[in-house]
Amino acid sequence: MTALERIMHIEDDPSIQEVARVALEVVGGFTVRSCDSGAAGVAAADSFAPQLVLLDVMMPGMDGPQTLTELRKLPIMEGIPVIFMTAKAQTQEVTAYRALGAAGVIIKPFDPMTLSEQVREIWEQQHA
Amino acid sequence: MSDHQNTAEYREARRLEALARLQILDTPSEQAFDDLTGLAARWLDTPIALVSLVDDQRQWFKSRVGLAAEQTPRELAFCAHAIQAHELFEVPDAARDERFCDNPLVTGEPNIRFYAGMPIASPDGELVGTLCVIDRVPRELSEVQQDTLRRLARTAELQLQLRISLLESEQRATELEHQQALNQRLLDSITAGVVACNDTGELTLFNNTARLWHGTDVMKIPASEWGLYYDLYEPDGQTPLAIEAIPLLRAWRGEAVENTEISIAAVGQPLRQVLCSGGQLYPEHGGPGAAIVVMHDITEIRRASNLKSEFLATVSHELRTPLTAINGAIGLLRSGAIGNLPPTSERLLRIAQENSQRLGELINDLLDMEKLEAGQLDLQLKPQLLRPIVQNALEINQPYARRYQVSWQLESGAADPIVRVDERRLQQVLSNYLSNAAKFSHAGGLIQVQLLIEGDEVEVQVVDQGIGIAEEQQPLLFNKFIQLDNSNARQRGGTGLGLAICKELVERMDGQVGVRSREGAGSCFWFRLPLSRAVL
Repeated sequence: MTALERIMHIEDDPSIQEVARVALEVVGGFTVRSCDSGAAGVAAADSFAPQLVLLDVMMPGMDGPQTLTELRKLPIMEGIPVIFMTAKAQTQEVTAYRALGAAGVIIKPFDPMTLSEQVREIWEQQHA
Repeated sequence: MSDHQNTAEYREARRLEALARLQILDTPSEQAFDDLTGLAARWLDTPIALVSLVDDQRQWFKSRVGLAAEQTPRELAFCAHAIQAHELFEVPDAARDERFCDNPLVTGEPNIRFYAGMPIASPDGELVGTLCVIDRVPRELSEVQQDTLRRLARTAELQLQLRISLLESEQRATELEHQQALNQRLLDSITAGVVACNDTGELTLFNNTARLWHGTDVMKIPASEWGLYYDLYEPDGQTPLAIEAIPLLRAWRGEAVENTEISIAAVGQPLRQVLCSGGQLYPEHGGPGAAIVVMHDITEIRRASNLKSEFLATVSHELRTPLTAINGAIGLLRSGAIGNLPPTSERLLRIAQENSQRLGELINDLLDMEKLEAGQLDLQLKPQLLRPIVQNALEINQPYARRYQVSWQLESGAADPIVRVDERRLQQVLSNYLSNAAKFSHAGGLIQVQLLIEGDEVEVQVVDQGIGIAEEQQPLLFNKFIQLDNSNARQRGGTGLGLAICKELVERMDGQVGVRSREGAGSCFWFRLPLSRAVL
């Protein structure tokens, strides 16, 4: 199984973006590309070639599900797991996100100390 | 009976009341009484026959044959003597009778010489008058004639009874009419819609408010035209309401309609949401029957409630986002992942983290309560072992125990019950109980957690040795926004929603919550859940 190294994080809130970046880089040892909108994420996908995407659900402009649809159109994104990050995580919502093709859902507020671990678990499930 | 009730004065007062109740004095002549006096005069062969009613100061003739006067003074009346006893009173020759010889009715017109009167009793037994015959010559009645007079008087009494019955039914009809008018006024002036139907399902009531809400008086138009004026929908305001789900129809069929929400869309009016309650009027009959439904307009309440929900959802999302960043940033700093911190910085960061976590808990509580109230919190109930959930809760809340220097102890027992619950939400209940127990315990205190099976239920108890709760405050504990001993509670944190949320959650899992406590002697918070028969 290939090791997970490059993670793209799409999140409009700069503070959360920064906390997640530090958590993933410092605690998890990943290489992180932070994007502040869905469009920026779609634009950076080719050059960064993420192995996994962490995607905020509620964003101005393109929201999470719309961004996912756009990412899926890119050849480089074929088979790349996308994890939604959301505060809205009632059962029916989680079911709906999975139906959209999400590999997993991480609930906000997230614990920065275990975020990397959660991400790695989902990655491993995908590649098991 | 008292002496007073025995006096002549009292008896006379009762007699006059009975006469007044008949409402007969000074009324027009009636054929039934005229027939009686006519027959009396013919069969007893007298020129004069009367139905006389003895009033306070006069005798008044309801019917008279052979006499012009309508009434005479009571002191002259032979009948006033006749009503003293329940028997025929006969004066063969008044001119020779010392009681009457100087009576002006004897010495002058109508020159009475013979009198025979049979008292007439009112339906309540009071002698109110007589049927009497009078002649201008002395004579005596034969036994047959006496019997005739008695029988005719009895017929007069029957007439009085009929009269009373008629009066009473007239009065009942009037009262009913007044009551109906009052009901109609009330029904038309209340802001609730009221509709009713009879046994055959035909509408019998559709008050003003109901007419207003439906844009028409449906009782005045055929059912085929109702749809021109309004449509009924489910609470969502979009799904048409099935005919069999119409509240009045359900009530007519015998169902109890309780707080059923529907929407009414009348032509030219905004959609109206109404809450309906009702049922059969005479349910003991069985089968379909007359029914009533009362409707309350909850459009505004719903709108306000939706606004509140949206507001809370927005606010809490807006609050959570920065909190996530604050918590995350502090967490990373304190973890040492970025580097070691000087002790003062670490202490200050701990304070910052604890308080931002508290803020997060408050927001979660507010959101949970809101979701519970709006019925939007969906629980994932499934049968599972209770003990591991409790053990897990103890582990999760270990930091609390450390902070307040208390220890947990799960009573060992054979019981390993299966319950049908939402694990995450039951953890929330347990966490609330445990953190409360920790907060309100003395340092070094022991908090015992017990699982007790009683019948087909299991009771989970969280028992502390803390400050306890005054008896009068205990019933309030599970209400919203209640914090006992406010200053103390504020120091220890909390929204006052925690226990209210626990109550709602446990009830949604078909259980109950409660507390047993004595001030200064600790508390036992418990919840009870039905045992599941599922096999895992």
